[in-house]
Amino acid sequence: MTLLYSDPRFLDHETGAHPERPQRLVQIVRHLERTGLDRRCARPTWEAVSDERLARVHDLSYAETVAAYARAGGGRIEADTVVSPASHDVARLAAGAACDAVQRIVAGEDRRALCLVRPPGHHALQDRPMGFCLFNNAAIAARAAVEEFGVEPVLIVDWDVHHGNATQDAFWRDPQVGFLSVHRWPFYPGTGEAGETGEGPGLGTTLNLPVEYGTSRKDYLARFALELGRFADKLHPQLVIVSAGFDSHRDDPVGSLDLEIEDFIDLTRTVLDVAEVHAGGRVVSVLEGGYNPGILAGCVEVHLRELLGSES
Amino acid sequence: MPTRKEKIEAMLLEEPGDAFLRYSLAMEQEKEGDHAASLAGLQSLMADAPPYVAAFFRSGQQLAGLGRVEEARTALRDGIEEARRQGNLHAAGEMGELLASLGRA
Repeated sequence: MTLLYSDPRFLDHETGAHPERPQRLVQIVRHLERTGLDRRCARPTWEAVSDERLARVHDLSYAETVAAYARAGGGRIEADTVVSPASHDVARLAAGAACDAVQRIVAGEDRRALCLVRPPGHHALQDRPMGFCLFNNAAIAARAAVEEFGVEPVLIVDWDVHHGNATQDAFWRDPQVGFLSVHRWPFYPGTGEAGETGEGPGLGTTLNLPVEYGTSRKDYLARFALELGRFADKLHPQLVIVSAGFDSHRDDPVGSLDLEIEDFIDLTRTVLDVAEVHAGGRVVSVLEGGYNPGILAGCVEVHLRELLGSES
Repeated sequence: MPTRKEKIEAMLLEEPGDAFLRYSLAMEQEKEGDHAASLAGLQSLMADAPPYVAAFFRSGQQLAGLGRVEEARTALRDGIEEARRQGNLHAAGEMGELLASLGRA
């Protein structure tokens, strides 16, 4: 089995005519029902993230700003990010899913989890929203793993087409959480150069793999496999968290790096191999981007198939 | 469409010494039931300098699954020793648990 987190409440984060819209999850959930994959998964219930967990990554005053903005009816909280009346609660539910998945995986309930959540998280900074993101789901979960369950180091692998700038910031000086991001570059948000490798005690625990537009699929996949394998061999992670964005698909309207759906099989298998080598196979995957709902559903299907297929 | 194994083999042509790719290939061979090739690949990783610790564990798991319990024990004992030498106590613990689950010789 694999733990599968999804909930209709994620649709209540209403964003209007925006790439990051509820239809993304609607299409995924329908597709997983149609293929029967959802029935092969365990479906946990969980709570919204607590203040204690949230505060390890975000200022609580920032969370209150988001809550107040939502209570006031919402709107565009920053250039790219929309908030609706339910968004604060929904974002807390998303972060809560990632934390619950970590807790259950660490407890041995399962070895894999997929959190189909929104809003995404990897651009959400300590004190402000950014790039469709309110709270950094993967970072909050990684901190919970380290602080509450003594699992370290944790490795966050971010294959969203955009650099996970906020995740990088969160662990820039932290040797307990490694961060590898493969992303289109130069591109939004402008960070993620190869020379950004961490600082102080965290020096060397951040690895950026910038990929120029026009890079072949073969080269992208080979570089990812080689660099991830070597990085993990150095880090010896005890848990792998995936910031799973699918906007590097060639037909994505926001990202696009020429990948095909089948390429996410390879990305997933490489992460699973790394997790087998170092982390007892423990992987928590958290949805980030992917803005062509039909394509996104196909990508999530193959990703979940691999997560399920790897169960012994 | 090339299989995962074929893609890894293609990558290995350019990076023949890469330990993670060799390990990944052994995993694919195991999935295909080609245990001889898989175990040989793991054996070569165990002979690397320094040895690739995960290969001992995977080898032990695979051998135990094939009923070759004494060989599994040997791989695990060697792996525990190597893991400790490399300071990888988590891996040593995992292999210790598997070794214990195999019972006494």
